[in-house]
Amino acid sequence: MFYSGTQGKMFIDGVRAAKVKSWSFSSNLGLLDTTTLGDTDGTVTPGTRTNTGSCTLLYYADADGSGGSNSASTLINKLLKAGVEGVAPEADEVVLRFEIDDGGVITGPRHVQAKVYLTTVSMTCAVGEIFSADVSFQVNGAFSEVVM
Amino acid sequence: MPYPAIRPTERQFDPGDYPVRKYNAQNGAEVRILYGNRRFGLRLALSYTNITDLLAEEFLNHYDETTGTFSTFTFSPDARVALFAGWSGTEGALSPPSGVDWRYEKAPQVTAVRPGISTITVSLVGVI
Repeated sequence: MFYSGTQGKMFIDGVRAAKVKSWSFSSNLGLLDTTTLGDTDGTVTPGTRTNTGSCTLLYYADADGSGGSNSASTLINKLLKAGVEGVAPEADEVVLRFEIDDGGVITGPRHVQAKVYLTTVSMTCAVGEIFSADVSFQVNGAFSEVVM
Repeated sequence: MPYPAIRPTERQFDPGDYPVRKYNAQNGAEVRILYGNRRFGLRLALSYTNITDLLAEEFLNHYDETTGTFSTFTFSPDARVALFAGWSGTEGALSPPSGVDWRYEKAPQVTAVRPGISTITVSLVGVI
């Protein structure tokens, strides 16, 4: 069985996000060089891991002028904050969960979950395109759940 | 406990000099007097990058056993093989002359890299 975006889901602080266009994550291992004098080939030892990712959510409203929030709004507000005189702006930590719902009964859906900080929020309004938010994040520590 | 037989990541060697005093006459001529026939003041700077903390500890233990910068020591055959790894010349070129031993020039410097991994630098000086 192969998977596609049809099975993909995303949860923001435990709530399923709507209108998610894509999500991705990557786990990178930094390597420490242990090559010594006399070696002809490099040797390494594991260093620290860095887990990052990104997602794109469409920005929408249920009805014209209805206001309210949507998943994109919920997410970007973890980083986008108006400045207040004398108060340092502080980004909020958010729990993101990415699922591939394969209908698994015993193990549940394949997923990863982690506490993250948003590092970039990018929004562009252009003619002929739906307003959306491109969000990048970095995991704070390791993934708390990995079922892959 | 002998000096740890671990291959360094980097090795810097300074062959030192003979005990020479130089005097300059008023006309600029230089007079040199040789006071001995043994080179001294050799320096060996060794860097061990990203080694385990247990291996780094061996250097600290050896430093302690040689009472810091006080006592002199020689390298074991195993340590010499490790120390001069990668050097294709004769080992004697990087060794002190007879009667000259090594001692720590200063305390080994340990830098923590990540849990369980450290980098240590050792500075030795050859003395008569």
